[in-house]
Amino acid sequence: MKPLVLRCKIKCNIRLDMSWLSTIDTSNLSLIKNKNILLGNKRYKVSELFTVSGEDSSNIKILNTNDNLDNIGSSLKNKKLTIEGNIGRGLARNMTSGTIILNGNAGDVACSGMKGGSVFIYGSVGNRFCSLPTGINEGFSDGFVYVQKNVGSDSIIRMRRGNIVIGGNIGINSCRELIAGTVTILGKIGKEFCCNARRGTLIIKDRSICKDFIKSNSTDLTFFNFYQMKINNIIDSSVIKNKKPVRYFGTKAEKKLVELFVL
Amino acid sequence: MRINGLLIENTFAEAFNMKASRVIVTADNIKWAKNACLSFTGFATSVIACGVEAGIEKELKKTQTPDGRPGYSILLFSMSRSQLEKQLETRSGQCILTCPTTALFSGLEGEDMIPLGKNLKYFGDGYQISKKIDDRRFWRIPVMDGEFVCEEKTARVPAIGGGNFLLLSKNRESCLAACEIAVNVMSKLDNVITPFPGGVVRSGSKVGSKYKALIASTNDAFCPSLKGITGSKLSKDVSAVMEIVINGLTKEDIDKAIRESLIAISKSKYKKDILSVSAGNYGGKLGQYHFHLRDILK
Repeated sequence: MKPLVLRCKIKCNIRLDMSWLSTIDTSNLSLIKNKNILLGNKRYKVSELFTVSGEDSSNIKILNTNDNLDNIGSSLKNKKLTIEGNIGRGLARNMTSGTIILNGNAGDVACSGMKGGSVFIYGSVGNRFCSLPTGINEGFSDGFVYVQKNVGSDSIIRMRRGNIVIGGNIGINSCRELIAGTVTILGKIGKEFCCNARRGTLIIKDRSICKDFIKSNSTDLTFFNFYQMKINNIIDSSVIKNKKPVRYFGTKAEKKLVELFVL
Repeated sequence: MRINGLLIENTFAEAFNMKASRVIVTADNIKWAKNACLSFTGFATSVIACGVEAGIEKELKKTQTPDGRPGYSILLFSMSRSQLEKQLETRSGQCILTCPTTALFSGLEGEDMIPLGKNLKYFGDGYQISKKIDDRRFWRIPVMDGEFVCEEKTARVPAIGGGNFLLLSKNRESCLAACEIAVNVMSKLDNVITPFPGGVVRSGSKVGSKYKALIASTNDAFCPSLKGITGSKLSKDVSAVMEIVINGLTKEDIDKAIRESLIAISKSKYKKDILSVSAGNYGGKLGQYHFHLRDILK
């Protein structure tokens, strides 16, 4: 079956909530075209805002996107979304399964409250990436996220499990109250990083935060090479390249079991 | 029926439904992976007394293992889920966890999952670390040489145990050599193991015994030393019989193992001493699978 393709026809200043995309469960093209969606205070048919073609609603392509398309992949379950272009806020919010591939930049609050699935962002992401959704105690419960470029501030708050790989820099006040999970950051790290963390594993290149951690001995750890292989396989590129990272284990201040691999 | 001159009797092997699982053991080098696997698969010849039947399925290259180190895959077979779970955990804990540099992974995917490192993690005494990658959870348990990485669960699948054939030979030397050829062929096949020592059984059994406490006893009909006393099934020229027991994940796997190993024997120099190939069965009433030798070799 051919993927369902939506090409955005409009370019306006009003934000458009795209969360309806995740709920499409029909291959009937006319039903999809006639679905009503809100833009501002007016109701439009999907076909008025998008050129729709294809049939497979579990494999959706969105073309010609812009910064005003919000909540793409919100609460996504068992679908594949491929997005060409920049998008707005709330990418993959509360996503539970499936795959999102974004060839562009995402706005704020991307991957907030994610519970599963994989997100590949070949661009940068705004602030509060993988942050806490309102009323929820854990920010990123599970899943895999790869960001090729930079991530804004106040990101990765109260992460519970899963894997996040960031190819570029991360802003200030990030990785706060880390509970568990693995975060790889290959660029520079902003100030106030990893405050009040309890456990979790950080794989970093920026040595500026090492002073807060207890240096461990040079034990051979099966895990690191295994993890490196798995992540490089998932991303299909050798993003983590190091056979012998320096390992730190435990925070100096509170002796919390946070693990740090410095590449 | 003769295959390259090797006489195949018109009989069948009787095999049973079992539950199986596969694990992958890796280590820094193949020597230590083998040490762990030999220990793990020790005393795992028959479910009659060992609880589980296990064997090394094959050696794995670095490119075939989850962590890029050399290793082996092991198959375990049991009659019940609970026994399989119990044996898998105790053997993993005593034989893999204890062996230097090793790691343990699931070698099967499926819906019916059984614990692998799920309870072993408690050996970490609170310092164990969980990592979930690709919907699979792994445990990192700190040990004295670094850490033991172990997957949380592995799959359990239906399987078949007890496929077999018997080589009836003029002498013991040729019989054993022919068995070795067969076991060597089967060791290169996927999804099958030969759980007995070296893959060969000399003590084929029948159901029941004159002693009430025993559920199985020597298969007197195939014991050359009892010819003339019992209802022997051996001709006067037979002086040694050996059996190869094959456990496999599917009927096709066991069919293939029997076929390829018998063809290999039929092409060997020991063929002239093998008087016939037979198979062990219980009259066809106990086992769910019948492996008719002649059908397999057609």
